[in-house]
Amino acid sequence: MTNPVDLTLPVVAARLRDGRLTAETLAQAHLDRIAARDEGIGAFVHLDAEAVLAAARSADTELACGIDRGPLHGICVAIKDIFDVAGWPVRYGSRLYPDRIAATDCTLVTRLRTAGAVPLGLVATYDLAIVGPGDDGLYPQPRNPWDPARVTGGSSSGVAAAIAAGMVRVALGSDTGGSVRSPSAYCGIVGLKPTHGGLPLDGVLPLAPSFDVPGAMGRTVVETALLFGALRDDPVELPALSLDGKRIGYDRTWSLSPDADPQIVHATDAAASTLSLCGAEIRRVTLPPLSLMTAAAAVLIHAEGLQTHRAHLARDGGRMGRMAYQSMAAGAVLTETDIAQARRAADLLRARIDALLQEVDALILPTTLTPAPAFADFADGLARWSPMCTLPFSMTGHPALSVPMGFADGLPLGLQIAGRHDAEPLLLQIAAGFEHTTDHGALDAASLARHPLPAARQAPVFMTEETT
Amino acid sequence: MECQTLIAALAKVGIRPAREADLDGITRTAVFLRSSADQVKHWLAEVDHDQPR
Repeated sequence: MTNPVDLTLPVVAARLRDGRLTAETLAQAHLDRIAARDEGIGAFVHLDAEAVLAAARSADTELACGIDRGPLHGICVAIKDIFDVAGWPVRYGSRLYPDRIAATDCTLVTRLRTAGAVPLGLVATYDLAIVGPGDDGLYPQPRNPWDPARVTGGSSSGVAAAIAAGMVRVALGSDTGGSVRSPSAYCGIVGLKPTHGGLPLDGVLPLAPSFDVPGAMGRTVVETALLFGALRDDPVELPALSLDGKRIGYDRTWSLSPDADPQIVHATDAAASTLSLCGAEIRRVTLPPLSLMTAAAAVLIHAEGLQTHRAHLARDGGRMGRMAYQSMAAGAVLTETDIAQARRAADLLRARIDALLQEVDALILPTTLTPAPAFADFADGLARWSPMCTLPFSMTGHPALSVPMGFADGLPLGLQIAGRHDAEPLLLQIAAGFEHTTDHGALDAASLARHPLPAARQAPVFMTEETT
Repeated sequence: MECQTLIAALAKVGIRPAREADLDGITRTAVFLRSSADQVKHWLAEVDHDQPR
């Protein structure tokens, strides 16, 4: 019999309602899976098994009484360690807050509870959700379930690790410059960065307010869509699979950046072909240069990040993780003119992307330009940028998601799909069509670790889960 | 980037790195940010130059 943790949420939801499964059994299965797998990963930083089981029992009682809160009723959701959950030690991964206990739920956790979800525990983030993977934060950074010598990416590092290792199906993350999408790509899961400003941020640690957004991360597109619906308090119509008539823009030049792994452009070309086979019309477009968009975004994130953490940097810098400290302090070299010019550039670039999105329904590009780097690459302890294509849409505020695109050297790659403001359902629809056709996401990091493939792992494996 | 320039910029916002190694790390990112700001400036100059008068 399949462990319920390995069933998709729609299947679980059906079983919770027909009596074949209880929320308590499901929650216990998650706790058992975490006990079995997290020692070698390090995704969870707070677990209260009794509270989890009590919440699950409450969900069962409600269902038995005819109270059905929807598709997340009785479903376990992990929470990134920057979202306040009443009574939990939300410490932002930082030695600046070793004893912090959140007083109240943030609005998004309230929405999850209202949707019947069971908060499962807190998962790791980089120090103050800034940069990593440092070895001097509040806790060690999680290891990538595909290869423990590799990083998960971040700052939603624990979310990606927990989902990829099969410990939870969906989790709440956040994205400032790619913190949902890059770990999703590196760990072979789905991550949605919604439109900037669409979800509430009260009770969430800020970094760069004109970039910060909460995000939905999940094992599959449908599950990510279910979580996103609960977060925005408005269910997402589950995506139809046909892509007929969808116009998708593709600019190969971003995949051919000098610091890109050569396998990236082949994987992205293949993704474009797959979408074409699904009925979409692929159109060549010309995006503004990636380096320019990244440059403007980097200026603004560092300017805003310095403003957010200026008191910490001046007063408590010695207790911050070194990468976070060095990265944020560097913003001091930016002048008011630099910042004003970057804002003007951001406005112009946003307008150019908006104009492109009048000609096409969505844009595709790689999420990251390499597979997950090794921890050894960061051994000098200095902050550095890993090459990726996420910052541009963080700056313009457009929604973007990452869906598994294939593999390079046995490590997952992500396809990024970006679209018009508030077009998340369309992005999810395109991603669902791609996922359904490729099934890259059906590969399981944990089972591959037990049964490693001898050669390249590009061969698609088809869903074997029960689907009813 | 000159060390004194960097230290002065940091002092202006109240930051005084206690460790020399931090200055190396800050310098690396600061150089990237200065280069980024210059790239943006040059692009805007091109945009303004191309603007119909």
